[in-house]
Amino acid sequence: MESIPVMAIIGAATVVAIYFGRLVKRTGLPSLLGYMILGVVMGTSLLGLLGEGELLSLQFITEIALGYVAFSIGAELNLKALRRLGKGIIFIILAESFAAFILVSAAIYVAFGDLPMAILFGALAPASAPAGTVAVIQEYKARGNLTKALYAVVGFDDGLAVIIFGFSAAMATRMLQAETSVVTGGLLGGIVEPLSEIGMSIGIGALAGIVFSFLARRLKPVSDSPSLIFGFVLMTVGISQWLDISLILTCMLLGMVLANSSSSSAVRNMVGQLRDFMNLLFILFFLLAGAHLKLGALPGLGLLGVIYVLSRTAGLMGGAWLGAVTGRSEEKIRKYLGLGILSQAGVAIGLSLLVQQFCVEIGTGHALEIGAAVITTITATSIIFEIVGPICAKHALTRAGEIHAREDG
Amino acid sequence: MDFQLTTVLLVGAAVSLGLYTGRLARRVGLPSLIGYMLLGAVMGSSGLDLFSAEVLRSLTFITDIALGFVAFTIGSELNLRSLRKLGRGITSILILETTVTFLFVTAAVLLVTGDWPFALIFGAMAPATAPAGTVAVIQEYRARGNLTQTLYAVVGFDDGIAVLIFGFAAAASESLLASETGGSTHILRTAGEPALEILVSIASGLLLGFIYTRLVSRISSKDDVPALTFGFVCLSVGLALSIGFSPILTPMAVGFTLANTSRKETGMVAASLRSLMPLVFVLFFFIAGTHLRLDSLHSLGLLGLTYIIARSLGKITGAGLGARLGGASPVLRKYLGMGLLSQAGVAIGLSLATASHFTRFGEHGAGIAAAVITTVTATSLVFEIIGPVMAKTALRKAGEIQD
Repeated sequence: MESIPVMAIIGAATVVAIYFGRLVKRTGLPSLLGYMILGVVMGTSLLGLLGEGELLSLQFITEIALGYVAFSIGAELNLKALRRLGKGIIFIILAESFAAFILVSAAIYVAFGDLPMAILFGALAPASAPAGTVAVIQEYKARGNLTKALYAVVGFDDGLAVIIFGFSAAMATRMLQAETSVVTGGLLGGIVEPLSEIGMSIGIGALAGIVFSFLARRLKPVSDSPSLIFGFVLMTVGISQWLDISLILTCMLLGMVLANSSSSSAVRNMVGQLRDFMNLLFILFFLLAGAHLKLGALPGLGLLGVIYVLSRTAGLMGGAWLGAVTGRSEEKIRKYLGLGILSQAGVAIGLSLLVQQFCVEIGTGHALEIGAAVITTITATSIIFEIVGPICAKHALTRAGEIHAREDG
Repeated sequence: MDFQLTTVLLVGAAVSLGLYTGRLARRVGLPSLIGYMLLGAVMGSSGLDLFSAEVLRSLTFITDIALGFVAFTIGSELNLRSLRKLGRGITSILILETTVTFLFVTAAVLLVTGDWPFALIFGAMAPATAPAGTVAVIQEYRARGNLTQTLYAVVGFDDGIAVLIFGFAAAASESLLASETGGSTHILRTAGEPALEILVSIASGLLLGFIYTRLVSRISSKDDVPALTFGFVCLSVGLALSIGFSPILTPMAVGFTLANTSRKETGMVAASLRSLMPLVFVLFFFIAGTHLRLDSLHSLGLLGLTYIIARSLGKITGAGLGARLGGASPVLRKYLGMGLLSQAGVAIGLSLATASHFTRFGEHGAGIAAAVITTVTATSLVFEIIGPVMAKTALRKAGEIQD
């Protein structure tokens, strides 16, 4: 019964969000900021129209929406087209992830002299939030090589981020345990587990993708394709949650197998039908993301947060530049790609909860202190990255000339 | 937490599989929705029992929103100008198909049981139709023509009349029961409520529809139309449900306002919904299927059979009579009633409402409550399957479906 007012609230919020988005767009910022602002206003920090209970019961919307985002990333990743962009992409992904890890760890170590804490923050730095970048690309109908490279990078770096996190989190926990001299589990577990997680994600996503594209190719009335996509995205999201593996990777693979096994006109046809709903999904996704933002967390930013924001930004941008130079990517990718991948949100918050859990398990004063610092800092910095990320992505795409003349419809 | 995960997975699997069971149904000449429903029955409580009662309850919001979209679609097909072309037939059809059904069922059940309050309550349930089945068939087969137009109008509006008749008849039945136990209720007061309900539902729908139409006509990007429509459907369904009203009339009034304000915008909205509706139908009928209780068929009995036959005859003769009186074409006279047989959620909802009221009235009341629930649950199962199949037959015979 209590879900009834929620339905009316969501309905009203969707309508109002459209106009908030419009208003924000008029100032030259991406609409999703408008959706998010409305979410903040309605959420726990202000009006409280969407409380913790409601948000929990609506969480499935966020997960399904993220599945769709990942699927639409995958559908853009045509290997033939990617190969034309060259090995640059691989270098970029490696360099931006590791540079973010190294710079953040180094900066925090220099400032606080606490190695386990520095490593844990570094571990969180590479995680990015693809939805912001994808929403901007789709809203402005961006097209070109930078757009393609962005799709590839925000999609794949999720995998690398998981590996880096797994490995370095294991290392940091070991150091913390060593302080109390009860070391359990080897370092090896820290690398094997994330690797097997990624292997499973890719395997399951590819398998689902093969079945899906087989069925999609034979689908008689094309009008059924939104239902087929819906069914497979939900199944893939459900399986990923069940096995606790990355739903971004699995759903991306789902789209990628489709993009690489069917004729490009067929893919465009199917994905074109998706476009109609993507806007609605983005509205719901960012509305809920906004409602989750705890503005109260911002004062907790402190010196630690400022260092994290600055060094992560520098790491991602510097790393992307370095990778692009090494891989001989074209100039606009070299210059602007880093700007497009700054978003950080749900995934990082999820990982920081994990870190806190480790720290509680270790239970020493030092560990508990770190756990608390990670949670408050990442919650606060996510607010910043969720807002700055899409703005910078739009800026990057505009500068690269991949967003064409302001169009209002 | 754990149940949510499996729910997402199961719903995804259901939609993917549903497409193919729907295809199968279609191959044997039945509407796809029968296939979706059968899959639901197999996965649901009368089959593999994959969904717990709690999960099913958490999925009702999908059914509500889906029904809202169906009602909105009906409303957006109801262009007054083209309705006027169909003539006053519509009005006499609406009045007769509902009242004749009420009279037939009441009389038949009275004959069988000899119990007035009992018969009145069954008569009260009978006029309610389930629009989703008919609309799904129309859209699947892309039916077009006078019968199609009339069906949209009738399945839409008769929800209002059904609520009115239910209100009056239930009130009459209650006061009979109350006089048995020595109390008394005012027929008018109990019957006034449904009239108010209809008025408020329609008025709020028209108001929302007015705002919606203004917004659609000024929208600067077509990409926002699905989101806007989704927002208003959720809003109107949510509002109607939160004050305990039928979730059909309000979204229908929203669509109706749109259809009668601007043709261009109506086309734009219809185009944006076209790719969404098949998914809505898969979800809706799949969930309806999971609720089906095949074991309830046992309790169908004489009462259930009487109800099914009397209701079917009532709908078909009532609609035929109404069409004749209103001077509608022979095609309508012959086939319209066949398209109106679906009965499902609304009737079950009414039977639950009755049951909770009637247990107050001693043993007799409790007996009626139990009989109403079991019988309507069992007969709905029959009508949910027969209804769409008959609707398809009617449309084909009328030549409005090209196979």
